[in-house]
Amino acid sequence: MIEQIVELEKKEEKKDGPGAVPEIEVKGLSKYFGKRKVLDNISFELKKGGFLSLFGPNGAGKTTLVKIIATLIAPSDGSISVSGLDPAKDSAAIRSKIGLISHNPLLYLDLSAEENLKFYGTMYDVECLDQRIDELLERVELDHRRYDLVRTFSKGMTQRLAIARALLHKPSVLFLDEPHSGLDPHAVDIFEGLLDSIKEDHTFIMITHNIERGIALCSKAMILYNGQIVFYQDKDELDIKMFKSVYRQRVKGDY
Amino acid sequence: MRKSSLILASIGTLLLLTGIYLAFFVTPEIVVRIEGEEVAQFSQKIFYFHVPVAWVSLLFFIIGGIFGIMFLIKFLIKREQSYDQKGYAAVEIGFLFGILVMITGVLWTRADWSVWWDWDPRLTTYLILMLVYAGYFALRSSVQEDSTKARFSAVYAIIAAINVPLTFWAGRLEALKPVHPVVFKISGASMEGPMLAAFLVSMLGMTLFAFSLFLMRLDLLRASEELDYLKEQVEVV
Amino acid sequence: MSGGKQILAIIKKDIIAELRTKEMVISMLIFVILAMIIFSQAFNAAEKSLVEFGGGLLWVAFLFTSMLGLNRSFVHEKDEGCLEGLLMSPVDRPLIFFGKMLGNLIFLMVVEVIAIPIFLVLFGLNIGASLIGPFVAAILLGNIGISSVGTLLSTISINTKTRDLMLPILFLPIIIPLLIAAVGATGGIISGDREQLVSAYAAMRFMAVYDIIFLLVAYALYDFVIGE
Repeated sequence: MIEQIVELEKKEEKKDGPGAVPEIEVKGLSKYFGKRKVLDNISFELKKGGFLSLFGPNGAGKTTLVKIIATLIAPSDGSISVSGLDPAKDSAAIRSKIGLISHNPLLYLDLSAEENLKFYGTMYDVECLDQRIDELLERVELDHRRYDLVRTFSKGMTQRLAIARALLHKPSVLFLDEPHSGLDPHAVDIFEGLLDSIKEDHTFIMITHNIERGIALCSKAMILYNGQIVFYQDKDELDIKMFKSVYRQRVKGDY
Repeated sequence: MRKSSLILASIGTLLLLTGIYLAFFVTPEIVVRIEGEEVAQFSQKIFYFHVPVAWVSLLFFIIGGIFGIMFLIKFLIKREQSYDQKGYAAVEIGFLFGILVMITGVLWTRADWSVWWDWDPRLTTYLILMLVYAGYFALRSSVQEDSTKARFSAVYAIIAAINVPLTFWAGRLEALKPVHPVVFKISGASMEGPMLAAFLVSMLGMTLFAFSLFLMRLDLLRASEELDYLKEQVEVV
Repeated sequence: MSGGKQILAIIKKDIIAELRTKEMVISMLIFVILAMIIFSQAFNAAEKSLVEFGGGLLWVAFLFTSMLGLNRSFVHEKDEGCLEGLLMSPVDRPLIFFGKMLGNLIFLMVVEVIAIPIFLVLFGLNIGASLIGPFVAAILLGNIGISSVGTLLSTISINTKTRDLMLPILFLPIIIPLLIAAVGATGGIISGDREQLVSAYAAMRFMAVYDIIFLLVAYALYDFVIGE
């Protein structure tokens, strides 16, 4: 117990120091299924507050990469750490640091908004759950619909509730899995407004096919193709022409 | 073909032929008393084939389960697939010999009671086991993604292997009720001399032969995986 | 008990959803009654041999009914990606198993509580007052086996191409040993015959062993089935 506390304190110190631990660190990550290489020697770092947009055709390994970081799949080779935690030892701790917003709402249609949040809150062992639910429902402006079944919600409302669900356990890392797909422009506006308000203190990895939104939101852009990184640049020095040519070459053929 | 499987196959075949020779030309015919008359039972000769086949089949079902466990242990550490092929090959061999068990069992039933099928508890048990493993193949063909297929197969092979003794036990429960007579009273203990020799030679021969088949099948699976991989590479280029 | 809260939450969630839609229990109930009527017609209910067949009829009906529920149980989780959401949470995988398994057990028992009296009346069977305890125990032992093996295998089948078609192919052969014992146990108890009761109790011991083994196996293997 004491050791843990000491360790935690160390981490606190490091966070603010100059040699801060990157929030997500991936080193030489590979994943094989039999002989097939799904991911081949992937390395990157993401600082706290960073936003990585991940592009690539279907089957490029995007989802596998995210699942490995989320400790759902173990890598064949290489290492990863999330907030300095090792997935082999602290998989539950890492998972409780991660929130997922997907194109699937991940909500039970036959439960009300409140029941959904209560259920997931219990799964994440959230403290002062009722208070947290009140807070979040207000924030996503669904307070008036809290006792209504999710089945009766519009697509935009469902997405807002999904965001509340993802933020429930105060994750420090958020995965966005094609969050724009199926949303109308109005819902996208609301979604990005919400995203903006939490951007400061979260680290993001977004899988997307939407170049415009993906580039606008990100601090780093990456294209995966056949399990390899074929493009990876910071946004500050992003060569959009090169990005687009690589994207067209690797991804477009897929559609 | 690998040398080891070739050697195993030749020794196995040799022993099997010896076993068959012993069974037909050396062992005495079993004599049973039916309604006071002593009747020689030629059909009992199938015993020297039937029991080794059944033994091999069960052995490989259990081996399949063990490979399942090994796969999952490996999977936890490195998530590697090699035990998936081994497990698959083992279950295939078990199933193949299971079919032989059914055929020889049915023939024996027919010869002794002049019916093809008598719901004899042991044969019924075997039929259930075959259906369990038919499920294994159905499952494999119904999952596309390789790693999921391997995981599910391993789990199912473990469950199925555990089910093997349970099914036999349950069959015995049924047999407690005097509906089904226990028909074949030959047990290892009551066998002697040439009978025991023929039996043991057949058992050993069948086991070695089955292992050689297993190794060959494994090589074949590996080769076909390699081929798939190479094809994929060519397509990518 | 740590994790009890999560198990309860999973059960509660399934029950609330079911109370709203009622689709699963109602269709299970209709199915089980239909199955009994079909049996009575197919086997000619007037015959006295029903005392012998009673246990068998009962369990065949329950077995097929349970598969309706088992298939539904994971369709809900899978449909809106909820299973993914559940897996992303730090909750232990075996807790998900026990939550789903107990939920399936409860739904099956709700159906049986209604179906068993109907069955006894339809087929004119009687269970002596002193045998009600063992009868309930036999039913419960059967149900535990069905829901533990069923939950494990329906998690597998829902992730295959053929989804709900796969469940009977995997589930029925694995459950046959339990079925044999369950039929023997309930049949023996329904007959009330002293000699048959002895073998009924032997069968119930087998059922208990089967249940324990498969609960442990499911507990150990669930991680591999539900995760990736």
